[in-house]
Amino acid sequence: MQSKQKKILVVDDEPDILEFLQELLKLEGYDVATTDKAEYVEKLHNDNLPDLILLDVLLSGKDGREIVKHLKSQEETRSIPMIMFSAHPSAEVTVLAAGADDFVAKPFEIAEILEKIAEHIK
Amino acid sequence: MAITSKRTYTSPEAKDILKHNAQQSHRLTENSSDIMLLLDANGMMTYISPSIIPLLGYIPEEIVGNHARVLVHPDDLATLQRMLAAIGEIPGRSLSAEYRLCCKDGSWRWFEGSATNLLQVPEMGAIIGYFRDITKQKLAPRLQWSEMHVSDHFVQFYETDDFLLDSLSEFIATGLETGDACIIIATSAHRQGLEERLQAEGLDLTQIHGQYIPLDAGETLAQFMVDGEGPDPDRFTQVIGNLIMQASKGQRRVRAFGEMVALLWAEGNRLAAICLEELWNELQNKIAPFSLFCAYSMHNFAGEVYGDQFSEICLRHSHVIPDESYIALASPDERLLAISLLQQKANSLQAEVAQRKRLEAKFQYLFDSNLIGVFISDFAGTFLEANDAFLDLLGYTREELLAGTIKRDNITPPEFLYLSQNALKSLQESGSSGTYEKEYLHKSGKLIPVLIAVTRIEQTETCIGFVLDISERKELDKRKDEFISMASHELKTPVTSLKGFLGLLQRLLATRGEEKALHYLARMDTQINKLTKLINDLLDLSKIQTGKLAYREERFDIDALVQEIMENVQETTQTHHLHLEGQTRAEVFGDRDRIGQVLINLLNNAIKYSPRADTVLVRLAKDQNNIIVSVQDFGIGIAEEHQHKIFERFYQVTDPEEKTYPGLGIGLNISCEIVKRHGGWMWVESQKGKGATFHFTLPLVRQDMRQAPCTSEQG
Repeated sequence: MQSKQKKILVVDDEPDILEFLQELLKLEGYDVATTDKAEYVEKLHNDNLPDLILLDVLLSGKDGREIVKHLKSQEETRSIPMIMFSAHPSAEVTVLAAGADDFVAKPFEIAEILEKIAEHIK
Repeated sequence: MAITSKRTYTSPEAKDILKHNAQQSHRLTENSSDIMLLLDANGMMTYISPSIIPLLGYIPEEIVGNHARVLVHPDDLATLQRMLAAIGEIPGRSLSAEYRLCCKDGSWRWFEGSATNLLQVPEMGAIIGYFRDITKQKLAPRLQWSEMHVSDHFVQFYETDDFLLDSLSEFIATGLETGDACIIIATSAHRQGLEERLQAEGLDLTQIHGQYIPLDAGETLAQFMVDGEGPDPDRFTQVIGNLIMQASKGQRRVRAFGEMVALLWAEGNRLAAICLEELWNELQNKIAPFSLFCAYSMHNFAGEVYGDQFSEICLRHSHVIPDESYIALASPDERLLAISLLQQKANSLQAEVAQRKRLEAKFQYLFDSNLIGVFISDFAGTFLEANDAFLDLLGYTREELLAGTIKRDNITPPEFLYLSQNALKSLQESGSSGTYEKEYLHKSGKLIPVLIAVTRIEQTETCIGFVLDISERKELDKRKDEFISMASHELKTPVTSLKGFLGLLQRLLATRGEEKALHYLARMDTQINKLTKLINDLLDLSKIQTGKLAYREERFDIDALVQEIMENVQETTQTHHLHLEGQTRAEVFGDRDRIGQVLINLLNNAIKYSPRADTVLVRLAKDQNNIIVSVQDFGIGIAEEHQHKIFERFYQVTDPEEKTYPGLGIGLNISCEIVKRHGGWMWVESQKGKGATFHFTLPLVRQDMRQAPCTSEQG
């Protein structure tokens, strides 16, 4: 158990996926927050910034890539590592172009996503 | 037999001739239209004048000593016999008759022959015969010009100018000799030909001024024609009526030859021609009667469409004189035969025309059915004909088509021009373009996807094309692809959850050491992975179809990739050993993951379709330009008839005797497309029951290829 838990924000519009990721990441010792609301992510505050964001490409009514682009353009959120996932493997190109740090295709192996989180989180 | 004594050769004259042999032959050669013969009492020829050479083509020595019958047409032999018998009885008797004599080349000429019995004359002792060539008169028009009624309006059809001029010169010569005024309204060529002939007959046209009135047909016509319409009746009556009134002064009868109608006809102004014939007829009733000779070249009626107009012209004349091919026939029997043959020909032509019209109507029906766009264009790319369906498809009007404004290059977007060029090439080589898809540019700028096939019209530089608008099909295809894409996305969401919770469970149970439960979960995970692969294949397939499958482009080591994939696949099978032969030590350029996908697919197939074997062989090789990867199995094999189809979408070999194998039948199709996209080829070698070897090639990285890895998206 780390002395100071790393905070991970998971954004997806599928409650099941949010739930298992929360369980999984808790088991791995992370402090996890989940949301299915894109607006929440756009209003992140300086005093409550996560150490890493996991974000789906397709959110209800919103393109995850646009959110990443926005966050990466803001001074206070720019340095947060962002990993996106999508059911379309070919989304990788556009995801990276939008400024995300990494991409994972759905459905993913647990080992794969944990590896990527460990790689990017500081 | 009409035996006349038009020309009698009296014995004193004959004696003179014979007394001066030298003189005689000189005189006979002077008049080359006569042949003189001497016959003995039996009809054998003892002398033939040299004038036979130009007339019949014989040299006298060739046939002297033969009976006179060798020269005579079989049908005229009886006449000859009767005449010889009749004059043989009475010395000094002279008779004449018409004969056909045989030319050396087999043709016949008409002669008036007279024979005189001088057998009893001392120093003579022969029958003397004279034959005068009358072929021209015999074959001339049968109408007796001198007997022509003054109010007649007759028409002469002709094939050659010579025949027309023969006929015309007789008509005019007879008129001039009997004191009629002759008006000639003809082309300058015909006027010149006529005057040459009249002068040859000894008529001095300069001496009969006022009786011979030549006019130019075109100039005369211009005096009463109204532009764009027909002849003006009043002006016609004024111009031509005055002419005839002038000519008929002094109670002269008038003969006229008019070629103005024929001019109008030849120009295609047929209504005006018939109208002018009418005006001539009216004029004949209005003013002093005159005899009118019209002539039409038969060439102007070559075509079934002229049938009605031809009879209209005939009906406007009181006499119709057929052209030379009929006039040339002298005997009534020959004419009857000719009529019968013509009737038969006319009937069969009529039937033929009807048949063609039916066929044409069928084609026209097909063309006008507008179920599909049909066009005719030339190789240069101008559209010559098209049906409404085609014009509607492109948004052009019929007027624009007729003006030649629809061109291949205007209605084809630049990116499809190469397709049109290819189609044209195969059209020229094989006569058909085959079926292909392209897009047309609608006049409004909209793009219309079409299915098109073009075939060459034999022996021309034109082709006929069939065009089907496939917008609707394309739209459906697009919606289907969107559906598949959406469906596979929707399928993946639950699979992601399943896989996630399964992973959680595995972790949970691992801490408790629940081996059996973990084993079951591993099995579930394998099945979920299979499901994921199926969904991915479906997604790939729909992307390949829409050209939206993304490929990375990077250099990679093909040997390393093959090794890595083989290790991964080896882990999934306990039944087969995967064996690698050869290496390439080469790099290829493309999407490493996609090529890996191809290999996985081939290896999985090899394992799947060789249930009783235990080995799969992979070979790596290269030539100058390509690396070649081969995957060989020792399984059920593929019968030859299926081999070209297995790369098609959704194709799976179904054989009632064989068990079925799982799968969607899209793996090979996807693999093949991926390889093609990399500039390579995929093919199979197999025999039923003897395993299969799949090969694919990839181009080697050349020195000039880009170094930096990058990505690109097709479409």
